Formats: sequence, C-alpha cells, structure tokens
Amino acid sequence: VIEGGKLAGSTPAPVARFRRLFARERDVPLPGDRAAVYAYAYVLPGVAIYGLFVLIPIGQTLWISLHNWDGVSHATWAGLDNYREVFSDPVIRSAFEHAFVLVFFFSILSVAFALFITTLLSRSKIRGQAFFRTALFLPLVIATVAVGVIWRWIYAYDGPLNHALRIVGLGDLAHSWLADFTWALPSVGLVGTWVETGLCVVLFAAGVQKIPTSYYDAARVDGAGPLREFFAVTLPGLRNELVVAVSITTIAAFRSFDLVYIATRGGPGYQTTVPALEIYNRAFVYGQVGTASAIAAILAVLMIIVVSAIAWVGGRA
Amino acid sequence: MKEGEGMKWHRTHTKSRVTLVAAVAIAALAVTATAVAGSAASSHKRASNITLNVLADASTPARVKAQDTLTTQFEKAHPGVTIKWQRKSFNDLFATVKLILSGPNSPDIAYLPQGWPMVALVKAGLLVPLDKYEKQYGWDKRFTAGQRREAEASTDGTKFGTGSLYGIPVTTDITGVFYDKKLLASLGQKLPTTFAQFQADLAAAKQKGLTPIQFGNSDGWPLVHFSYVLQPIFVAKNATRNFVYTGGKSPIPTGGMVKMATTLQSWVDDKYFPDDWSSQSSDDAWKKFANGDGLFYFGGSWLSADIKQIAGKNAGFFLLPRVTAGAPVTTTGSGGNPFAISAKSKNPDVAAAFLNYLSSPAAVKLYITAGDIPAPPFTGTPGKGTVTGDIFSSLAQLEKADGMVPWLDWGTTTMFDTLKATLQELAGGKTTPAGDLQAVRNDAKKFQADQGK
Repeated sequence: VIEGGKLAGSTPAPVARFRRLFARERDVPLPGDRAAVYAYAYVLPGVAIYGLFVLIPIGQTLWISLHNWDGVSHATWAGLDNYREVFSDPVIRSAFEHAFVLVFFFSILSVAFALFITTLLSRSKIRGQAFFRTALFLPLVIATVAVGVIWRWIYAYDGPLNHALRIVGLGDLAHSWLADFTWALPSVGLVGTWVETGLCVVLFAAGVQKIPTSYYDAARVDGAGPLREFFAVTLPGLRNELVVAVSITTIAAFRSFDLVYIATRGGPGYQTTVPALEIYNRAFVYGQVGTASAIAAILAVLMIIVVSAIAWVGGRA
Repeated sequence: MKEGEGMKWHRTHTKSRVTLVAAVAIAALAVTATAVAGSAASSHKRASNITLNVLADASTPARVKAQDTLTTQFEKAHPGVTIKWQRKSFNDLFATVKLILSGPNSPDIAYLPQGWPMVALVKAGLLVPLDKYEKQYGWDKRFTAGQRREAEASTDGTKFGTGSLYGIPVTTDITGVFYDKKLLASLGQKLPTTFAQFQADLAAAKQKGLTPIQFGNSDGWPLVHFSYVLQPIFVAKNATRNFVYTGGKSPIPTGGMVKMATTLQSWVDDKYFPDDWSSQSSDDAWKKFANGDGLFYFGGSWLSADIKQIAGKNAGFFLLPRVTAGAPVTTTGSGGNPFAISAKSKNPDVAAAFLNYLSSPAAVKLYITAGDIPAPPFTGTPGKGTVTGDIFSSLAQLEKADGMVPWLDWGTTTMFDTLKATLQELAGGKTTPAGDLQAVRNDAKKFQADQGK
C-alpha cells in the first residue's frame, strides 16, 4: 500500500494523509521498523508478479516506442520520431479526438441516464426492483463482440431502427447509421451508453441504499420537492459511487477497441477510428510497432491524467 | 458522522484512487496485448504421418469446393499426408498473416497479400524461396514471366518484381463489369463500346427506375476494387506499373487519378448505387445482381463461377470500354494471390508438391469445369455464352494488348487501408478528387521514407 501511495504521490496531500493514518494504527509497520522487513517479504510475490506482467511490459513498450520496428526484423533507433509522428499524423490525432467524444457517450451520458433511472427506482415502490436492476446490468454481461454484432444489425439499413422510423412516418431519417460520416461515431457512442448505463445503475442503486432514510424524511419535512431532494440528498450521498462510475466508464471509453473493430473498423473513412484501433493496426497490420507503442504510451499517460483529475475533483467536491 | 468514519472514508477513498491509477496504466498497455490474433492449428506429426496446414481466405463457394476436391485427390495419391485448411475473411487474413507466420504455430502454406505487403514477409524472413521447386516442377514453363514476376522479390526484401520466386498463383484475377443481359436489352442497348456510351446506359437505367450499378461496401475494400475497374481507363498502364513496382517512388500521374475520382464521385451523386450501398455487404450485392437486381456489377473474375450458377446465361462480363473508341483494352488484374511456403514449415518439400498439384493440369481442368479462371495459360474458350466464356475472351484480348495493370495497393504495405479510407471519404463527399490523390501520394512518400530506415 505504501508503494502504491508513492505511485500516486504527484499530489503530496494524500501521502501526508496516509502517514497520519498509519501513525495512529500501531500494528502497521512503518518503513525502517524491523517488522517492515517481514512485511516486504509478504509483499514480494505480489510485487514480483506485478513487475513481471505489468511493469516490465510497460518498460518494454516505452523502449520499443523509441525504435523503428516492423515486429519481426531488426529494430533501429528512432529517438522521439514516433512521438513526433503521433502528434503530427492527422489520423492519429483524430483517433484521440474520437476517444474524447466516446468519453461523453460512455461516461457523461451513461452517468446522467443512470442517475435518472436510480432516482426512479429508489423513489417508486414498484415490485421487482431486482429484476429491473438485472435487466439494466445485462448489457455489461454480454461479450462486447456480441454487442457489436447485435447493434450492427439494429443500425443496418434494413434493420429494426430504420424500420421503426419508417413505421412512425420518419422514413426520411433512415440512414446507414454506421456507414454515415455524420452518424457513425455517435451511433457507436450510444452503444457504449447502452452498455455502461447498467453498470452505473447498479453502482448507484447500491449507493442509494446506504443513504439514511432519515435524510430524505428531513428533506421532505423541510418541504423539498423531488428535484431539490435529488440535488440535496441523493447526489451528495452518491459522491463516492460517482467518482468510481465516471472513472470506470472513462477508462472504458479510452480503451474501447472491440466494439469499434466489430461495428465499423474505424470507418467510414477514418470517422470512428480510436487510439486502440490505431495501436492494433500499426502494430499488427502495418508493421509499425514503434509508432503503435508511442500511441500506447501517450494513451496511458492521458488516461492517468484524466482519471487522476476525476479522482481529485471527486475528492474535493 | 461518528469519529473514525471520516478516517475510514479517507483510507478507502485514497486506496481506490491508487487502484484506479494502476488499473488505467494496465488497461492502456493491455490493449496492445489483447489484440492478438488467433493462430493456425498446431501440427501434430507422427513419424510417418505428415499434416500440412494451409491458411487461406474464405474465398467463394466455387473455389472452396474445387480446392477441397484437389485436397482429397492429393491425399489419396500421397498416403500419410493430411491437409488441413484454415480459412479467414479477406480482411482478417491479410491483417493477421504476418503475425501468424511469425508465431509459434505457423501454417506450412499461406495465401498471401500481393506486392509490397508480400515483400515485407520476405524481408522478415518468413517465406521459403521457391527457386529450387520452380526448376524441379517446371513452374517456369507453367506460368508466364509476368505471373512469376508478380511473386518475385530480392531475398533481402528491398526489391519487388525481381529476384527469387516466393509464391505461385493458382487462379487469374481480373476486374471488369458484369451485366444483366435482359435488363440491358430492355433499355434497347447493346454492349457499350465507349465510356460515354457506358455512362449513357447508366443514366438510362436510372431513368427507368433500375439500379444502374449494384454495389455493397460494408467491408470497405469493395470500393477499392471498384476504383480498380475505373482507374486503368484513365491512368496510363505503365505509370501504374512503375508506381507499384518501385514502391511508390515513381509518381502516379495527377490527371488520370483525378478523372477516376471525379467519375466515381459523380456516380455516387447521381445515385447510380442502391440506397444502402455503404452498409450492404458485397456478398449481398453480387447475389442481388445475379438474381436480377442491377444492370451492372463491378467486380472480379473470382465471382464468375458463383454468378454463373445463379444467373446462368443471363449474366455476361466485359472490360470497361475506353474513352476513345478502339483504344486497346485494359483493366486491373494479375495472377491470383500467391500460395507460399512458410520458413517455419517442417515439410517444405511436401508443401511444394501440394502447391504444384494446386496448379497442375488436373487442377486447371477442375477450375475451368467449376467456372473459375486458372492461372496457367491454356487454349480454348470454354463456357461460351456465360460470364466465364466472356472472361476467357477478355483475357485473350488483354494478353494481346498487354493490358493487364497491377493493383494500386501493391505499391506499399499500407496502401490498401489508405485507399479504403480515402475512397470512402471521396464517395461520402468528405474529400475532393485532389485530396484522394494526395492521400495516395502521402502514403507512398511515407513508405519510401520507412524503406530508407
């Protein structure tokens, strides 16, 4: 844990907080104690596995990102050329822009939907709440590849979505959704919303149950309406869950690969390409492993920054 | 809030943040690892039993059937040899072939992408040079010099179209236009002899409420093939050849490419394609055409057997007419994708014997009977009155005029995907014909720079 604390030590405040915490609990050894030696011995197997399967590959990726390498023959030193390419190549740049668009759909939109659904579920007295929670969680259980196939069918020109539009007389709105330059990215994004909303609902539904009912009673006594109640009681009570939900869904958006690969393969044109897809294409198809590694490194740094920011904002609020 | 609760919250909160940061780092880098492709079936080999694993594309039903028959015959003639085919879609195969050949479960024989993507495999030392077998089996006589050149590369992988032989084609693939005889007659037209006449037929079909050109581009590559039918009409054949064989060093001419792109864009604007062309699969499209929906279909000779089976004598095939009447015929085409032997194969001699059988006179006969176009030259024009017969006579004309032009995507390792994207953008009105040309040039420039490294 102390190791981890250092990892997040970019902001000194939490580290100091940690130290205070440990100082109070006598049974936790501090570095320098004799007992610490034993503690490290216990931690060692875990650290070894973490190092072997996480830290070393990260180091390798960074090392490869400094080379020109086709994945098979000899690599040559490239210095920072690959990083320069990542920043100058318009396709890679658009991939990162698309990732941020997906964050809106995967994270912000799903959290908003989930909050609304949670409020409905918690306020209503209908039976079978467990059923609704399960039904909403189901998309997350389905393999993403299957999700992609299902939605490709739904979005197809002869698919149910266009069919429904034609039935209600909106046939003019029918598109080849996933092949349309304007609609492809939002269409993929909405699939992400569909998947991630379930996760958020389950998190929030659990969180709501922890909020003492006396708070709601107090709010009602003070004459708060449903909207006031939501902002004064429910939302603050769900702060921890919100941080977790936003973080997880943001990560899902940044690393999305399988959904895009199945639904559009990055097309039409480069309209739905995302960093992970570019990493895959360059590493395994084009034989540009160095550039792929540079994208991976930048994506990792970007994700760490964004998620740290979410945690920081969530912690302060 | 009781004392201690706050403390507990701080601890769990900070801990979860640490876990999150770690999770992000893992997640981002795991992306590179999770995207690994499947591997070919591992070979189990007993002392007397040999298993050859063949990796090929999903191909068309007629081709698969012919190859299955040849496999059974070969196994009968060579007791103890078992041949296992593993098939993948066109897109998936060429996206993963390098990875599979360099992995621990490499197949013995693989169906390869052509041009510089093939040369990249040579450069990586993944293929066996076939010169020895070329002599042993007399492939230098079986295939034309042009066909052999298409699968030749220098052993260090710096030159294409010269050096050692690395693969042999079993079929010939040319692009062109399939047409519906009844529908063309209903317009009161005969086969067009100039490009202007062809365009007039398109307009007439549209006027009459027919689908002028049946088309489906859900996989992206059909649009690339579509452009290959148009391109030779506008771009001088030697310019394309030089571009491809020099890896893009010799520039592609501006005027022709822009004309090709302008034409393609105008056909989209004139709605000569079905409404759902961008999301329809090419398999659905050619089946619809074969069943009578669509006056024309832009495709390749590899569809001949399957279109013939559905449409019978109602479907025909012609090479897109030139702008000037009487100009020599030309189209994009070549020997089919080559079959090659993996450097990791434990039985390269047996693999070579099977390659030899796949293109043997017996195989040629079988392909012709099935309605497909074999690679080794042969005499006669079987299948008269059907697409197959039309393709054979087109081939004869092309040979006489030296009109076969290689595929533009042979030019670099990334050109196929570049064309897929830029042509979609072109057809979607997101880029101009000049922008399309620029994308091709940038791709070539980058490839040249990478080759120098």
